[in-house]
Amino acid sequence: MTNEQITDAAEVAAELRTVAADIFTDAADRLADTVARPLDAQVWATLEETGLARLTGSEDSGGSDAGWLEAAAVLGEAASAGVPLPLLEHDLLAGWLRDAAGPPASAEAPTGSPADAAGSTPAISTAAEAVATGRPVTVPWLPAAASVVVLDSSGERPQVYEIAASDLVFDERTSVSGEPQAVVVLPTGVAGAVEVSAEVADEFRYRGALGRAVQMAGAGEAISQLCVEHVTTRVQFGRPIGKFQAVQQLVTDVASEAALTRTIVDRAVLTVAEHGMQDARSRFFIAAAKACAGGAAETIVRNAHQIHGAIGTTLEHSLQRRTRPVMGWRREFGSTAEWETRIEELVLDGDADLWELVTA
Amino acid sequence: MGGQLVPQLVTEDEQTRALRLEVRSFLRREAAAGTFTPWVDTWLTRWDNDFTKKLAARGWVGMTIPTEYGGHGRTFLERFAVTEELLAMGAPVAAQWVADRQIAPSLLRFGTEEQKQAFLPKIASGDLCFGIGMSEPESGSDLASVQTKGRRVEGGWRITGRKTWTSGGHVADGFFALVRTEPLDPAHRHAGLSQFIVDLRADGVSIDPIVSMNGGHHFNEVTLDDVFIPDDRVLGEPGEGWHQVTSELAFERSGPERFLSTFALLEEAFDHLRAARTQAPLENAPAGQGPADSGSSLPARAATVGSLSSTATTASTATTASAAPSALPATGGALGRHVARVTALHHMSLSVASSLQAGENADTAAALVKVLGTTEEGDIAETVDRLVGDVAADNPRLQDLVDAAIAQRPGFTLRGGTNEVLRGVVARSLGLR
Repeated sequence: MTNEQITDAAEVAAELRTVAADIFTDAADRLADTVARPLDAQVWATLEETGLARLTGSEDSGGSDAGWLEAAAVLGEAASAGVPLPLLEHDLLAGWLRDAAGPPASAEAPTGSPADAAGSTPAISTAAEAVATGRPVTVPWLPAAASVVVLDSSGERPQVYEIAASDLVFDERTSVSGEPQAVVVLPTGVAGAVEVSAEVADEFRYRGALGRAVQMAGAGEAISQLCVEHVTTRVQFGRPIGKFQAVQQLVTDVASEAALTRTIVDRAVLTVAEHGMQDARSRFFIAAAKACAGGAAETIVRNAHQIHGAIGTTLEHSLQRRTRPVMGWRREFGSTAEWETRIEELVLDGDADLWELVTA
Repeated sequence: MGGQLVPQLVTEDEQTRALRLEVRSFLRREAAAGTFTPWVDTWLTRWDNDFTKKLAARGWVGMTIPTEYGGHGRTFLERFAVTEELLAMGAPVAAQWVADRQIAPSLLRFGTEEQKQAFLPKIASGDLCFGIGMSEPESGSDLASVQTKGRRVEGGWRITGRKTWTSGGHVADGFFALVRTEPLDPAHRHAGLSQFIVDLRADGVSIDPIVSMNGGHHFNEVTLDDVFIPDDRVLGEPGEGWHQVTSELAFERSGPERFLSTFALLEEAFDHLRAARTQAPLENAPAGQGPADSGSSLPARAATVGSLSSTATTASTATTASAAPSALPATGGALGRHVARVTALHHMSLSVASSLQAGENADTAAALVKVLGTTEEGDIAETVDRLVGDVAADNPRLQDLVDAAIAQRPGFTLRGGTNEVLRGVVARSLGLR
């Protein structure tokens, strides 16, 4: 993208952030504090109406032709507000994978149809990778989805197909975040599946990791704000606990780690917007963003709960709306250690040396 | 993204990028030619007047000094790129460090025309080296408590007291001394302080080494015994000292020296890992230790790290290959973690530099960079030590670097404001105090 296009996209992203923040604040007010955190159909319908549910799709396929800058703005706001939504899965993964495969991607299942006026479950797609025949995988949001777009990388050449959720037998679970997920053995070698390039298969993993990093950055900043609010209002020993240096140190470490995550995530998103997902710099920054976000999450979550005291560990406190998702997201699309290790591989095997990568 | 602690992300422009690459290739040539040996914490521990002059001849010292004062009129972002390259490469830069980082900007901002003419050209040419004269035996983090006193005399001042932790004081030409020139008013502790430009060879100045625990001599105690300072060597106006020393803190705190002090060690650790993988596959590594077997969706290449034997890479030149150890534990991603965080810090520090270039206040972000960065550069030393252990027999250079980094590490989070004080700065901006 040209600099002008980037500037335009950044402006759109800023506007979307405001719009999304309003929607998600309303949605958050409606949310019940339950262990399982299912989809709020009302907010999803709003996202469908406003086009936010399928931001990055081509206009031909009902999308808004937006890029990662815009999508990250919305994704980050949802995480910041603590509203559980399959935006990454539906738009940036399933939608993208369906578009990348091109028609006819659908072997035996319907593609998403818009929610009907009667308010039935809107057609949500999720996405997953089948890495080996017969091996079960965890699929986020599957219990809430109408279909799964599957990247079948079990064979010599990666393939893509879409299958109705109703055609799958799966074990429904609630992730540590409270979001619905399922463990399922996805079919491989499906007739009618569309072959895709190795680049597409590779990109799937990077997209997932970047999306999760964006969500963790949004939640991390929200957690940091909650910490500040708590320590400036909670009074013990006759003064706000934020007046104690020991507490200040905990809070500043949360703020620091959240800021560090924000910086590298923004860098990764901007680099992807500028140079695309296939660019080596994008790959490195995504790896760094996911690794950094995962590492920072340890300090952020631990300190935030220490700061909030016992009340912060309860279901009724809004802290868990951010800390539980962070703990769920950091393990998905590659663990923290896997991405840290991936970075080491990039340093050891890549064309660029360490410092060249850092300053890419 | 309102209310963010760190300024907006910036991307280096092409001109600065080109400069960065020019410096990089120069440094690689110099290191290959043996002009210097890449080292850790070189901005404190590697003083080399010849090398500083060599850099100055290329226009890489005093870069932001305007051309009318012998400088190069470059931006802070250009200086940022150059200093990053110098530090990442572990080049010896202590001789220019203080003069380039804070003396020149202070002179430009507060100095008289005569002072600028007298000092700036020589700083830019690498001929004049400076130290810092702020801390005292009884004044560490609490700088306003300095006890060195100045008394008015005919034509100038007489100053008496002890300054400590003056890096390179034994080889520097001068320093700026923060001195109490009016009696302490407990209600206005920051008033009545002045900065003097002190010739460290002047009568009444004596310099004693403060030897570090590994025998290194970088710090000094400077005793000022009734040293005469003429009026024209007062920086700016008497009484302005506090404002002067605090106004440059963001520059001092957010720079790349706050996260790159051990970068040469990180490079060396990767070289060691690369050599170990090529030369001596780890035997009996349990199959299935790699992340790919955990059902992850990461690329296959990432899956090879659990066992270091899996991937044969092209060996780099055999710098350490002959000394490769017989076995090295899997890193568990520990080095990659540092790479990720250093990359984030590079961008954080860059956005602070950009913000400062635009004349914005970035004190909080600078404090944040320093807390995160100095912790990180110290942790790199710990991680490498934890991974390689006693490596003296296999790779003496790596061992020496680890030893140097471990010894320097405690200082990282102390100098330029302890991390505890800096967290207080961040806490204040968050509205906690």
